[in-house]
Amino acid sequence: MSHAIEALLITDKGGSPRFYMQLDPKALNMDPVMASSFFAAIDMFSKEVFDEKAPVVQVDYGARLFTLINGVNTNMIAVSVQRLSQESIDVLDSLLAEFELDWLEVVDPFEFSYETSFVDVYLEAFGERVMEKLSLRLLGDSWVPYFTTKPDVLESVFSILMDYINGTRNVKEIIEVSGLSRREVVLDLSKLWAHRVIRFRNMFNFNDFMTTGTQFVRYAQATSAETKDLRDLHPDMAGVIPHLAGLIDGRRTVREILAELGTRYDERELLRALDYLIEVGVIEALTPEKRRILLVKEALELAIRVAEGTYNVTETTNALQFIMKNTKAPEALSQLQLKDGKWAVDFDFKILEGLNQKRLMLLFGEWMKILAQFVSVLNPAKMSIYIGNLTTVYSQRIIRRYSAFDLRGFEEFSYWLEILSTPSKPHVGPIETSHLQIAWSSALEELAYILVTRGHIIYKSESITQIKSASGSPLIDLLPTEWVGRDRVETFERIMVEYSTLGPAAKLTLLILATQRGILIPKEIII
Amino acid sequence: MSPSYLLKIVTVGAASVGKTSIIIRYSTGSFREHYSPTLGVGFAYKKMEVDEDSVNLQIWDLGSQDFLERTRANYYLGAQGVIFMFDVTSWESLNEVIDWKNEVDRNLDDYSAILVANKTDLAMERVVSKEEGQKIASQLGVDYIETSVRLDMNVNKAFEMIARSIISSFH
Repeated sequence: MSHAIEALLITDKGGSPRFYMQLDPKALNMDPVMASSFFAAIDMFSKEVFDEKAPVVQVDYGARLFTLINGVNTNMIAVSVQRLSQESIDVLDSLLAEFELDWLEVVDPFEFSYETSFVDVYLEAFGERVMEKLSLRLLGDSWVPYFTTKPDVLESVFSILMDYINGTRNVKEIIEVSGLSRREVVLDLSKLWAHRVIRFRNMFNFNDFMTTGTQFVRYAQATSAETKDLRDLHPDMAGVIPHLAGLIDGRRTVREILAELGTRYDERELLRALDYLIEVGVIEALTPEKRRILLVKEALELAIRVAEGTYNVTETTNALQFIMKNTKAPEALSQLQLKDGKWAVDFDFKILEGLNQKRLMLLFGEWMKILAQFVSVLNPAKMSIYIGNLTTVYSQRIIRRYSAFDLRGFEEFSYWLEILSTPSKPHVGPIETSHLQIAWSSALEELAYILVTRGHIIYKSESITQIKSASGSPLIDLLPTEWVGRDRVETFERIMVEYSTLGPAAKLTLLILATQRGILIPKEIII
Repeated sequence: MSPSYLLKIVTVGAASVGKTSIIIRYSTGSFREHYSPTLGVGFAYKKMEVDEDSVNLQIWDLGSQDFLERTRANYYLGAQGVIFMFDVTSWESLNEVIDWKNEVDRNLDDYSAILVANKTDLAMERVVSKEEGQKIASQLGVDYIETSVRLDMNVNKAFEMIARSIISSFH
């Protein structure tokens, strides 16, 4: 089944790990021993705070969500980036019951000495059961599996792919050559993964943003030990990496890097070099938190450039310098740099190395604040033109390039632009909300709810009433499910079109909210 | 017939203490899995029953950034209740509660209020004790409640507390 689970951990009630497995080969490794102690503390805490213990508890930690399932003798923790479906939770529940019944006694960490790594008490057979029910998460067609041990000495596991995995064929090619179905291939690879006899290359997504770490420079130095070793082992790669160096800048995707070098180098050669650099840990794909920071930094860079065009360089520089006086976060301030008489954003991510999730989220907030303040000190006389220009640029460079996940929270900036560009006084009185549904049954209803509630506050209440009349929708007075005789999609589209005319930034808000929810926007609004 | 109330309340407090999250949790039941600063003002509502009374609670989520003070000032108008909020893992956020009280007093004459201590699930990172939170609450002359929005602990109770406080002030 498809699922969002990156890793599974089972701990006993005393906080010792009993089983750990990654279901997403791309996911960051978690230390099972440290994680077990962490969750034991949460478990104890929840027991003390709550009179009764919930069977399933979800804990948000930065960009990750931990789902804790309480068993009789053990706890299971599933790590994911999204909320798990009930179907996934049911599968995990049954796996935990099976573990307690059949496997708990088999794996006892206390039978092993402290010198023994937890990895050595890993239970392959239970891992295989996990994979039978859940399988690898998001197995990409371009991923290349390879054996970590000689296939001919594999005794513990039988594989129908033994003859097809050769370290160069990707998943798609294995399916074609073997004649097996995709499901058969995925299940077999999942089994091999559970037994830890394969790993993958070429795992990154073409939409991943790549950045370098501090050790990367060693591969750009002709005399470093790393370059010398590479020249001996992979001479071709040693020649390619310096060309990649300038492109792995924290703001280009793999696709964009390949496009730049595609005419000079074979794509496979480039991908192998990227794989190698990832494996030696000197480059990485940006994490979800860093992608959000990148997005808002790009938004600021574009806001500065558009301001220089709409106003002029002097006004723009004055505005930014004024804002910098009020900015305290050194990680943000140090990345605003004066180059050739113009302020620019530095996209080097090394400054974020070693920061925890909480700090990263606060820095995201700091960049949002800088962006919001910057536009608020620009001359309001040209604000409508500025927002129009910015919307066009953002549509191309931000909304089309980033994923819906990256755009989370960015709508706040658009609301801010709406407030700045609305001459009317804000609505501060009670809002008519008699029947507007809060538990939405569709993304469109959620969008309508947000537009109506937030719209009431930004624009005059009468503006929302006009949308109701123009779209022919009762909107607030009746639930969407009660719009008998109306074409609901058409009505929602009408709401969007009408909303987009409320102010210069309304269109940007719609673009962001619709992209976040995977909603197609009407042609009239497309930029 | 029991009366029906339309109550306007505002949430204030330092950045990232969970003001938007508590409103989303209360009004929709879900937990927002990411942090984003509120720029401007958010809005949510929920119907609730307080004893025999039907209450339509309208909650205004005021962005906390310092540069938003002038924007915020507009939205205090007509509010009958204020939720002051801090994060138990941050001393700064508790210290800022006094500043928030001063700002509210500049904009509202008569209001009911409670002090909410959020993020109690982060037990290992907690620095502000319950006693210290209660001490500030009594200095402000308001009721005190500890919540974990993440674990959905005491969220409904907090909103019920402020609604009761406002309704009792009517009598």
